[in-house]
Amino acid sequence: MASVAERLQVSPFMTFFIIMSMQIGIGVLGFQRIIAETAGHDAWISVLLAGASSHLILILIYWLLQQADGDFVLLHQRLFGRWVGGVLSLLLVLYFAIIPFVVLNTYIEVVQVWMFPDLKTWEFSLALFLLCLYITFGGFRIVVGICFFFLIIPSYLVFTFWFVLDYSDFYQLLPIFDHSPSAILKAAKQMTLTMLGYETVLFFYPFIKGGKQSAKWAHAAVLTTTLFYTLLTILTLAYFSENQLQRQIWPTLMMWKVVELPFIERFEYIGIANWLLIILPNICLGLWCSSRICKQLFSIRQKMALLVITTICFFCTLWIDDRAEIDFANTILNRAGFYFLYIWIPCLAGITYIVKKVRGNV
Amino acid sequence: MSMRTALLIGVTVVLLCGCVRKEILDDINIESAVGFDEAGKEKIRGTIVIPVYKRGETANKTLTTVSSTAKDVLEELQYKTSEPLVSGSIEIALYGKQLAKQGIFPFIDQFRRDASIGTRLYLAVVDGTAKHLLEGNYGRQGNGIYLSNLLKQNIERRDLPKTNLHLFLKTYYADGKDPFLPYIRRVGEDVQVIGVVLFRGDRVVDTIGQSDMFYFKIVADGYSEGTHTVRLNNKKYVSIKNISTKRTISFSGPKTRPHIHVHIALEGIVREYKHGPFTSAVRRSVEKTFEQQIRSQTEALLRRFQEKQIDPIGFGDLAASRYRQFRHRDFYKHYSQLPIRITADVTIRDTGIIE
Amino acid sequence: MTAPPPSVWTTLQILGSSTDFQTKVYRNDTAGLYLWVSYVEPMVDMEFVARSIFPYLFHCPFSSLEEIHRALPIDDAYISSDPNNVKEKLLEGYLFIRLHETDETGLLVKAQKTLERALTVPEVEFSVVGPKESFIESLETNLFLLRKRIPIDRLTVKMTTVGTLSKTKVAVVYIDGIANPDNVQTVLQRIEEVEFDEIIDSSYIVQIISDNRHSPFPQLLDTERPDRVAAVLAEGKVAIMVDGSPHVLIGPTTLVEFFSSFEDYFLNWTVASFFRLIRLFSVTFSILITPMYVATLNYHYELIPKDLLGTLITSRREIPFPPILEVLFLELTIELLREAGARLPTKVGQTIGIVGGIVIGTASVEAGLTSNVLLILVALAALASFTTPVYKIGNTIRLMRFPFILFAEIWGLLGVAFCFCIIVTHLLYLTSLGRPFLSPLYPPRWRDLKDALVRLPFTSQSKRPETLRTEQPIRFDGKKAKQKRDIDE
Repeated sequence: MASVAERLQVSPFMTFFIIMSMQIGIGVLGFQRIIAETAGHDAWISVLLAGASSHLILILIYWLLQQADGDFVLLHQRLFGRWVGGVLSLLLVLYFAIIPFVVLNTYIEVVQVWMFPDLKTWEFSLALFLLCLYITFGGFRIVVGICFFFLIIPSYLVFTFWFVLDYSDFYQLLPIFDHSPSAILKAAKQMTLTMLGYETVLFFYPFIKGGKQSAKWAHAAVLTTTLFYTLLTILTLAYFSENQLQRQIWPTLMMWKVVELPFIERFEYIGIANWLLIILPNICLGLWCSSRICKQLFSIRQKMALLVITTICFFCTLWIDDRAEIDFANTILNRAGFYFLYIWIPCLAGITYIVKKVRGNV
Repeated sequence: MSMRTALLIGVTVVLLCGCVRKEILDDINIESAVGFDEAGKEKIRGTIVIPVYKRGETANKTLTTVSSTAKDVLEELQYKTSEPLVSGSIEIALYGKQLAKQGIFPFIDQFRRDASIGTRLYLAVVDGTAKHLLEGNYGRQGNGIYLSNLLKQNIERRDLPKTNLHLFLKTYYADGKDPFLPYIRRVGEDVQVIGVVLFRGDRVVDTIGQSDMFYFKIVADGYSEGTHTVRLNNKKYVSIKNISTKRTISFSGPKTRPHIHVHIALEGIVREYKHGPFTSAVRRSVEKTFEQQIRSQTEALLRRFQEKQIDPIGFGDLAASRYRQFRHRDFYKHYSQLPIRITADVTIRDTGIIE
Repeated sequence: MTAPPPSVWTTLQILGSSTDFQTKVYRNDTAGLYLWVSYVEPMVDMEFVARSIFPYLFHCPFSSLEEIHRALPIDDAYISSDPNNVKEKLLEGYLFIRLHETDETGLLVKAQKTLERALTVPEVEFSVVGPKESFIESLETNLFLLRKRIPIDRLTVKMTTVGTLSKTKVAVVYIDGIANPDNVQTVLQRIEEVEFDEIIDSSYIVQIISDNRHSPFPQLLDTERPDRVAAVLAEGKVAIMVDGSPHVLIGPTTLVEFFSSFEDYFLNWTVASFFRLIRLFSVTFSILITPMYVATLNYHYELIPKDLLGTLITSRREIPFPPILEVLFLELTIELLREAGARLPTKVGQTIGIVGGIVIGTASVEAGLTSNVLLILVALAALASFTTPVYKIGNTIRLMRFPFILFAEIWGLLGVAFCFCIIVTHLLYLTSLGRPFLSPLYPPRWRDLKDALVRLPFTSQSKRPETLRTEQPIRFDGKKAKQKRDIDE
């Protein structure tokens, strides 16, 4: 049982912010194109489906956490023995370690295309990783503080989508269900990367006061994210014509180009700068989760694990920096997330259930 | 302390090496309007307008050059300036009529790919050459702002339908709609909006004149706010201002050959009528005449579209939203023969301030 | 060679090496005794001695120290032979009376000179409405001002001394039963652990006992208003009073308290909330406007609305410097003016202020060294930074601007966002006496938000702030305060 001192714990209400800020990351800038390619103007239904399935998986996750007393690494060990369980947890370390550099690389690419074509990747990456180290070295409470503030402060961006309404044709969404169910389901699968984030609860659960109460906040977070994404998808589908959407790599950024405030034109620059605030929690939580699993697996100091993982991530951002490779990394993350959440978690739940019946407890 | 020193070193390194290329405000030439014209075989003439800011009025400076592709043209203009040209503030892009007839997509495409260009950019086709129009001196804030305000004002208060770069691209890429752009002409030291040009794909195929713009806007945008003069049969004129317009398009019948019904409901007030008191009998006759006019003019307009095989209203897209498994190809096969019925309903609300 | 054990004689010898230490011999005719009176002259109130001590000393019949003690009408007097005590008290301004020159025992009588400033209007935290008393340097008077406002028995004062050379008296004040004992314990412990030689002012104490010494953000609030201290003690905070300093420290504190002026509590809550929001807005404006200027002019000309573009370009046309140098030049000029204005004697100060502000500003615009737009922005930003009611945080805000400017110069808007992240992280690390500094924003305490960014009416604040974890959270019965009535009832 991984128990954590009470002074290091946070209130269950914070789960809402942690999960939501982890979910909203780099995918939001361009996911609409990918799902619209498969499901056309019915893509918003896919978003709702993805959200609904996330709730189901979240229920399974909480059930597993109850069975495992809050310690997921230990669960792997107990079910599969020390070595196989260790390997499985190690895969999770890799999974959480990939997130920081994929997110950062995608963001740097956006900055290089839209704002500063001659921004050197290594220096921005170095600065950002140093900042993330500063944040994560302060412990979980500081990471949660970042999640909290950097979800609330950029939330005003939601209101900027008001300007898009003037140029939107909602009839483009009709008729509903004009695509085959398999297409809609396939698009829902493509949404996985954007919906990812709530699996982190498996690892920060011991840090929540009164663990079980956090379930309702976790579900609230997933619900809000789903609704936000659905709204965004509907707006995107009404703003662009279908073929036009296929030609936009970052539809959300294009939508910001049309925002016109009395004292600021060309809002997308502000949007991109604000986006730094949104991806920072993603990177920090990814680093924190993977170093925490390392600490539990190898009994090394978390600070050491953090330094090692961050250095590796930094070098990865240098080597993997062209468009195709970043796309590939995103796809891998999408697949990995999908297999972890939709295949591994249910399997694990099934195995745990059986073992529980047989052995009495885990 | 080693963590702290590492942090300090990191910060110093970043701060020292971290510069990105600057575009300092007063060291750059900000393009405010661009224009493209045909220039002989396979050659393009590009013109840009740079505002020269002074206390008081802003002057204009135009630069022009000829090259073989759209991209090259704007790049070559850099040879003629001492400060770098930047295109982030372009307000409007113009295309000469001849060029527009040959297709303007390459020029639009470069805007689409340039991340520094906003999608509120106005586009227009010039009756004449863009160069000639851009070389004038209009307004107090420079040509770019003058032209974009001209279009903006006409879209908001008069008969020009909504249009900008985003909308142009949206309709260009849409399967069931064809784009259109404003049509302007230089008249002395002013610029006038003289109509709307219609595209098939990216080539100009037809023009709508000033008299038809009113009807076009009602059907295309679904509303209009302008003032219109109705001519009564006995040489009397009455001027009506729109309060609200509502357009409904409905389809009936099979999806390959639907019947299209356009219904226009218009509510207006009388602006000017100088032939005696405006009794309710007069009002009714005005309403009827106006309805008749709307019907016939719109019918003629739509018939013209059908003959030329263009669909600026977007019947194709609208039909796609009504029918399941719609195929644009099948729809457009019989487009020119589709029966279109127009009905109008005019209500004149009151007679203004006086009787 | 070991030093001989200290004795009263040696103590008096050491003290005697200063010319202002006197040992005089007097004769009491009535008793027929000689008296040796030792004192440190500057510390003793000779008038008081002549009026209240010497008459009894020289004319009453007595034969021993005890009888002298009984005869003198002075309350604070006792017989002592402890050399350290004698030394301490002599230096405080006591008289040391002995019957023989070599006596080791004597009577210590208090004859301290008290010279203090009259009570004045608070200089830093002036308020238009409300009481205008302010603390002064004497600890006794300050305690008087405080106890006057909280005349209950549970107001506890714990005195200690800090500083090996200054021996400054420090009083830790709190209301027993309301303040959390952990907070009190933390304060007491930290003050015990202070190792310093000369403690001049409460700000020395702040810097030594702060949680995060390296942070430019102050973590203990200091105030010179007794009414403010009384109000926060009632909330459950702990106050630290230092003898010789008119500023009293309050802890634990949070960031939002640095932006609330005590005058807010004297005004109607809607007006007060409005002013608070203006203050917060002006602080944000003050920090961000110059970096935004640098970022926009360097990299993001597209952000500027068309109408403003002409003005900015014409204003910058003759300037030979890039925006960053222009900004740094003006910022440093303003800091220069501020520093110079703070040190000039009052007669010259006003003239220099006008000369500096108006003439230099106008002249530099005319000469083409700075642009008038930037001048306005920098002046407004400087003004806005002075709206903070607590002086210390104003300095921090002026300092904060510079990292933002540097980052804006490197990475434009992205740099500004990046610097913002750094500052937020730094603030998250800060604690005040162990309590999170960013409370009630994070961790969010809904109850405390009623008095953070806005100030809700007193009737809705029936509980004490959650962050302090007081022992008695309820101030008054909130429900009784509201009464519901139907129309025309």
